[in-house]
Amino acid sequence: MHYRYIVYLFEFMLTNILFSLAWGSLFTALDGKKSCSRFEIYLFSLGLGPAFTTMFLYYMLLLMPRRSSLFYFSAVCCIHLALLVVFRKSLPLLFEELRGGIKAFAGAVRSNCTEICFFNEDRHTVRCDYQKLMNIFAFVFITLCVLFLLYVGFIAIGNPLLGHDISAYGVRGNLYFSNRAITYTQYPFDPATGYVNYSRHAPSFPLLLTWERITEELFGVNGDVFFRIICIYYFMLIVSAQVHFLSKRNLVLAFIGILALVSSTIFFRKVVYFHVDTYRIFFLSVSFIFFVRSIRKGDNLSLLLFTVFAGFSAFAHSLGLFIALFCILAILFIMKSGFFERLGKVAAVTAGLILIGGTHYVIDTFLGTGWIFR
Amino acid sequence: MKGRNRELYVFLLIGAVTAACVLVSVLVIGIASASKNGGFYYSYRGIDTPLRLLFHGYLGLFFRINTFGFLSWIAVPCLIYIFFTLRRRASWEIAVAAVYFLSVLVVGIKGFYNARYAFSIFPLSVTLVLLFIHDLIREKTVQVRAAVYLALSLIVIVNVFANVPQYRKYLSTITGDGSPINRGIYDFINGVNRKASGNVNFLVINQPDFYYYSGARGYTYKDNVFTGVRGLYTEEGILDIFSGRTAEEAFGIMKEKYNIGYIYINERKRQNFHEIDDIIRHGCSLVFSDESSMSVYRMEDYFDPVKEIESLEPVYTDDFSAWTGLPAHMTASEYREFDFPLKVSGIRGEFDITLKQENGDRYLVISPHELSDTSERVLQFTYSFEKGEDRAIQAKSGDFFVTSIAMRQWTQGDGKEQGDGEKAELSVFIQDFSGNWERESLAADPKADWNNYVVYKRIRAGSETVITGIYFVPVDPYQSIGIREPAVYVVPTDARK
Repeated sequence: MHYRYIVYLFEFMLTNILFSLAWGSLFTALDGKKSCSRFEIYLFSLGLGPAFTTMFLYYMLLLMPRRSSLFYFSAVCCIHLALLVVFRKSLPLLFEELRGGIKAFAGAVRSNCTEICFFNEDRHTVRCDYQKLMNIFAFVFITLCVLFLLYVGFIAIGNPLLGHDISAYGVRGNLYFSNRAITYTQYPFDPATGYVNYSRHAPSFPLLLTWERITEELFGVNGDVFFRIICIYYFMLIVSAQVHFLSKRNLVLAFIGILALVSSTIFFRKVVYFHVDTYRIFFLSVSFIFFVRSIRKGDNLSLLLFTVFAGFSAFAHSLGLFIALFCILAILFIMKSGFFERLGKVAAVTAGLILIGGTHYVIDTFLGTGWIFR
Repeated sequence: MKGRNRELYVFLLIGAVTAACVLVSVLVIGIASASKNGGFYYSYRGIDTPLRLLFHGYLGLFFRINTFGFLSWIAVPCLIYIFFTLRRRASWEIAVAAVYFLSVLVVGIKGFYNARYAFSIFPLSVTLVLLFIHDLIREKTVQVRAAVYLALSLIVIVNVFANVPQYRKYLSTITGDGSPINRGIYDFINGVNRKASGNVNFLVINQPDFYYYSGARGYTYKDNVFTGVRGLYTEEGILDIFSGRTAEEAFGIMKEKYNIGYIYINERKRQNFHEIDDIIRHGCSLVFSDESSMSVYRMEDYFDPVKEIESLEPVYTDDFSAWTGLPAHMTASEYREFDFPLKVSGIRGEFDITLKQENGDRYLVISPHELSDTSERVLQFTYSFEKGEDRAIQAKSGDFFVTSIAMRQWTQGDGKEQGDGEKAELSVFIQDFSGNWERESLAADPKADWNNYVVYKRIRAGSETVITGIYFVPVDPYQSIGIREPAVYVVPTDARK
């Protein structure tokens, strides 16, 4: 294998898998009451590694600018490794549940596909021949869909970054890297290239390219494969989350869901032409799941996870910020608990949201281009 | 049990009404899309039809079938149903419905021009719809459930088959090696930049890929209807360079003050930048273009060929406008038998051609033949110039070919009255052939008085055939046009000096 591909693979495994597992372990450890499925926590956490990486990079480039690539790289790695070490005991829980799921699934296949449902919460509902038959078909089609998507995603990695927005994000990521800083001015003109960074784009997505540049500089490689893989990676995460969520009801529903999603031309287009969309929509969708759980259960972990995912949704796109604000209003007015308790929870969620995804908007509004007011 | 059955029937009724809306929107929008492509740009430029704007724009999440598929509209009856059963809903259901509704409102109002915004909540929308339906039929018999699931499966399978051409189109654009399609354009830009030792700037027409892939310096020009940002992004700020200035003056400022020597533009979007299009047509020559429709133009001297023809003699006058030998009245089919330079090169239906004289000027009147015939009529008159023929092209590559013609139009047969009905489609055009046809066209809307129309086109390298003419599509049998004094000029490139 070519050296640079090994570097890309290393970057992917480090950022998307290892860092994500660190966050998965943390949230599993925090879930003492097992209020959430471990598998779900890890599945959704798989999107958190790159997102937290950009958040740390953002604050470091803002507060500690113009340091070496090695400094930023090691700082991000150290934070995640520390998390992994501290919460190492939670890590095996993932594999336990995953192993249990595979065993249950294999058992179901062996017993003539009687109960092919992933982690079915109400298995008694599938004990009929029609349902069995439909489940078998649905399972086969879901597998085919996922394989086809993986194939399309794999060959689509070869596509260049030619769309308007994706190249604008790319230029921004390159600027963060070349300046080794995030600065705010009313009119951010770059005299060297003539580029004016005057868009309303949020910084999370371009910082993924900055992270790639930082990492690859250390290994003497130059490319944007990691940045391109990210779009496909989150696309697969959205599909996985949807299949998982719907298959808890039944597999036919999951089959209809996955086909409705990926057969739409806009979704298919996003696999082939890269964009921020899959990245931001993943966080938006998952934040919505935890928003519903927060209202239904009122537990702190769901609220925390809602804050984290809604924060990253906002950090990726301003639409995420607005929808997060709607969710917060709903929590304030609809959640069933005492008013002051709700007020306290909303204050905590808002603070977390600003910390994770809102700082950029606040600074840009008052010290930068004016964001929402222009 | 009875209550739940009634709920299901109510839901199915609402679904049927919405399905009828979808059907109407598909039909109407389908008809609208068949004649005009590029819905995104129509909405984006604020020139969409109200119907398309409503269904394709504001309610795009539900009714933009070609983008979101056939399933997403089901969210509408679900929302209506939830609204009418709000009192019986749990608090979390109300919360979900409220946030979903507000999100739909935001993407509809603020992001109607771009389906990407509606796309943000599309996965959520599909999932919620499926969960809602699942919940609704959960306690029904297996047969009912199977029927509902089969119907939903059928909808999404139809969606897959309906979109196969789109999937193929997207997949065919994958280049495979991660390099930009025809990377040559960035090499070319970098080469120009090196040659000028970095002392030349590019005018970048809203194409950030320029900054991502090339090492040259550029000034971005944007014209965004919705953000209201229009102008040149300079060191001093955003300069609305065309405000209060002619295109020629703006051209001069770009060249002199900002040292812009080249323009980098996506040809597919060029129609959205009228002033830039003017500048390219009057003052630039194409130096590089690729298959992905990206072009680089070199800025030369601003030059308006229309001004130049005042001091030039037409090159092919005599036998063009002299209608000598023509009978006073004939049909277009009969006209084809006469050997006149002005040929009928395309005809659908039948037309009358009448030779008339007014104050010593002879002119032709063209009108639909049968007034009672309302079928579609099209007529194309052309002069053609071909290498090696009697009327050879007397223009070199880069020269301007200019056609001038006077026209008038009536909407009441041969009378003078100008009607208020739908206008006829009428244009003067020039096209040259250099591997493919490229046409410059000028839409004409003449009144009862004579109006002069001038269209011009820069002749491309290797062009061996040039055709110029008139394209006329009357929309009712009473619309007729008069033409006189056609003249063709060639304005050589060196006339600009």
